[in-house]
Amino acid sequence: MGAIKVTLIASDHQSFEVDVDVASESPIFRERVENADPGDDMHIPVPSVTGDVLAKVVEYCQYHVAAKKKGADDEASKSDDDVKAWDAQFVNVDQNLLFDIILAANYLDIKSLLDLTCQAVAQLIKGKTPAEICKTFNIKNEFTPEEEEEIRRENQWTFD
Amino acid sequence: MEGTDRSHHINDLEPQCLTHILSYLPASALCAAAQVQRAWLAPAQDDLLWQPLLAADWLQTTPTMPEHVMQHGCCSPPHRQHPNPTSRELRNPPKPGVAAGLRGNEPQGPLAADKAASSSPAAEPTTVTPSPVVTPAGAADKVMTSPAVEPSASAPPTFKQAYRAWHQAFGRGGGSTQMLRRSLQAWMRIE
Repeated sequence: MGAIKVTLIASDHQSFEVDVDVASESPIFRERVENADPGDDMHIPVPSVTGDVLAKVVEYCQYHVAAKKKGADDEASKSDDDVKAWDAQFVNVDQNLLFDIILAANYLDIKSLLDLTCQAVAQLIKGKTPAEICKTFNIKNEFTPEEEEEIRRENQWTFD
Repeated sequence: MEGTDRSHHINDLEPQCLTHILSYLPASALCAAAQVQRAWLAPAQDDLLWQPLLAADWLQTTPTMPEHVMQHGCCSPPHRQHPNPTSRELRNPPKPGVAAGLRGNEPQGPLAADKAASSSPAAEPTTVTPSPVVTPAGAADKVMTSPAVEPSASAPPTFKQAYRAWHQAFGRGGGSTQMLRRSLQAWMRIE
C-alpha cells in the first residue's frame, strides 16, 4: 500500500499531498487514515497549522521516513551523521518559525520533531545569563527588585 | 507568508513544551532560567527536571542509588516517562524536627564531612557503614543538612535543594560519599 496518498490541508488552504507512511509519522494523521472508510478521499484538514509551518513538518517527516528506509529504492541509505547534519540545518530557522514548529509538533504529536525543536531552543538558552535569555527571546522581566534579588541569591551557586 | 498570527513568542508555547525545552538544560542553565521571569520560575525548579540531574550525578559518584531517586530515570527527559508532576508526592511528608534541623546529636553531617574531607579524608565518622541504604529512622532525623539549603518547616525539600546540597559537598574537594548519601537519604525522606 505504498502508493496511497494523503492530502493535508493547512489553515490557509495550502495542501500537501504525501505518502501515507509520511503522514503516519503523526499519530493523529495515522488514526485518521486507519479509521477512514475505503473510498474516502483522504483529505485531512489541519486548521491549527499554517501552510508554511505544515510545509516544514511535511519536509521533516518525508526526510525521516526516507532515511529510515535503508537502502531501499535507488537512494543510498543515510548515515546517522547525515541525519544529524540534516536535522541541524532543519532547525536553523528564525525563532518564530521554530516556535510554530514546536506548537505544530506538539499538536500533531510527532515526538522526534518535538524533541529536535525543543533541543534547538534549549541551545539558545544554554550558557546565557538571565538578562541574555530575556534579550534572546524578547522576554520582559517583571520581577520586583526585591524578588529579583531573592531569586538571584537562591540561584547563585557555582558548578564545577 | 500570508499566515495571520505569525509572531509566536516562547511564552505562547504550552507549559509542557517549556518544561520539555528546559529538560535539555544542565543545572547551571536551569538556575539562569529560573531568574528570567515569573512564568519560568516554577518550571525551572520542577522536581521532574531536578530529579534526573541528581540521579545522574549520584550514579557517577556512587554505584547504587535508592529507588526514589531513580524513579524518573536519569538520562531521558522526565516528562515523557511521567507526564504528571507528582514526584513530590512520592516522598513521605517531612517529619517535624527534621525541618527545624536537629543538630548536635551526631557530630558529622554533610558540612562537617565537607570540612573534614578538605583537611583529612581519614577523619570520617565511625558510623559509616558499607551498606548505608537502610538508615534507622531515629538516626536519620539527626543528620544535619546544609543551612543554605535547609527546607522550610512547611515544604518538603525539593530535588533542586537536594542537588544543591550534593554539589556543595562534592564541589569543594569532595565529602565522604557514604556520609553524603546517608544524609541525603534522610533529608529526602528516603528510607
